[in-house]
Amino acid sequence: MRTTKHRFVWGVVAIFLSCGIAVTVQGQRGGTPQPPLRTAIFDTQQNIYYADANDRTVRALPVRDNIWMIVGGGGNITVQTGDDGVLVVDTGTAGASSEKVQAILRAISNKPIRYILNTSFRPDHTGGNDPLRGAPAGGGAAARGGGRGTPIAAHEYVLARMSAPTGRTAPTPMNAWPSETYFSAFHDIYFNGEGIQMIHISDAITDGDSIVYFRRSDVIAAGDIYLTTTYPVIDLKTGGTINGVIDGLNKLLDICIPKEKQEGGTTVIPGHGRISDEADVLEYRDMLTIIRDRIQDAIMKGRTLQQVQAAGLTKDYDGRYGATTGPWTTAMFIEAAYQSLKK
Amino acid sequence: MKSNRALLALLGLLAMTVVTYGHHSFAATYDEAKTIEIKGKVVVFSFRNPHSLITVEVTDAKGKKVRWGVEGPGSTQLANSGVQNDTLRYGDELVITGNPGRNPAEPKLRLRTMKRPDGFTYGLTDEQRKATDE
Repeated sequence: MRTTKHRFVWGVVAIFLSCGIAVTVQGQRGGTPQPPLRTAIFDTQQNIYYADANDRTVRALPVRDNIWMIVGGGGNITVQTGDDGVLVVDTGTAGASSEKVQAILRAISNKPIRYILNTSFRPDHTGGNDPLRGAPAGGGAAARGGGRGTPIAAHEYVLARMSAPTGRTAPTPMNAWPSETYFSAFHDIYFNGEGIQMIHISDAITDGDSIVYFRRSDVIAAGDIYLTTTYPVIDLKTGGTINGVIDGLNKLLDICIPKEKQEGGTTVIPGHGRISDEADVLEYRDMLTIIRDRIQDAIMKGRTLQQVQAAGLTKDYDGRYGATTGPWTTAMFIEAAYQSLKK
Repeated sequence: MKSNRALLALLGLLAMTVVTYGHHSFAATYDEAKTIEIKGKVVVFSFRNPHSLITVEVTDAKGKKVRWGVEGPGSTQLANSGVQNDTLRYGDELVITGNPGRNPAEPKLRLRTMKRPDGFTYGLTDEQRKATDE
């Protein structure tokens, strides 16, 4: 009898304690009023997520069953989803577009972002690191858990470019810095039942580029070493070279396996531009090799940079990749290629 | 009943064996009778349990850059000493003392002390430890 009475009393105490904890947690969440979260829309006919019904620039395109490519938010963002949570390769730019990216991520999966990989330090690929680290998950409170501790993996030189030693001012906020760096040829991750390999491409666009290979899905996030929109944006100041980009493209081609007649098979997500396959990468590599050889030949003949820029050595490709205005013109590309070959 | 207790005790002992194996002994890997000093630049700081790891790039006498793996206490123990995951940053210059690995070919060290030019220090020197022990 006494035992039954004790059990009843302890039961009541346990219920009160549970209620107290629940109220406390609710109180902490409700402390600061939060703006309502943006809701993405899904086009069932095209199988595309749009961040906004009125502005369709930021959108997610299907690549595989659990792999998506988000475009329009800076550099392309590769998204892998599964039971473990959401993994993103690159995070686009900071600011308003990052909110749209988050809205799409919440629509694609109700799991939190648990892993961020960076292919480069450049702001169009890492600008969203800070806001995405700890962003709310799609499933509401029950699915939270990514948090500010979400690891960001990248090559060591990405951290070197984004951070600064103690006592000096860093170019980016500390929360955006990679927390898991590698300095060898590879970095392996196993996530959502899939082996994922980060492969260092040295001295290409910068000295710390990576490509990310999803082995089971047969998808490669190539970062900026492969673009479908412009000539490669070689950054001489951070160790970029045209030969490094060509070497990187050759590594990409080593991994790619076409399905039939050089078409389909391994899917390549470029740093900017459309979804591609081996044939697309092959064309880009050949274009770059031809231009490299032409510029190299001009250098060997003693031509100056101005003479090379005026010679029209890229004319047959300018219609596809060239630009006379904007952040990366053909003249800038030729200068970067010329200077890196002169080294 | 007795046999159940004996079985439980045996299982407990086995579990402890597994834990001990995962959390390796420093003495087995490092020569605790020796202490050396290295000076270099932090390239990786893994603030984790059971042991934290600092990778330090050291330029040797011939000008060759060598990366040393410096193994220290776990994050909980470091945090108790005031070291957090943002205490050491990429590029920080450190002077580190510690016990070298038993294999001389491996550039590794068990962390004893570290100091940075800005005045940050961690750990006790051998003399300080002896004084504390006494």
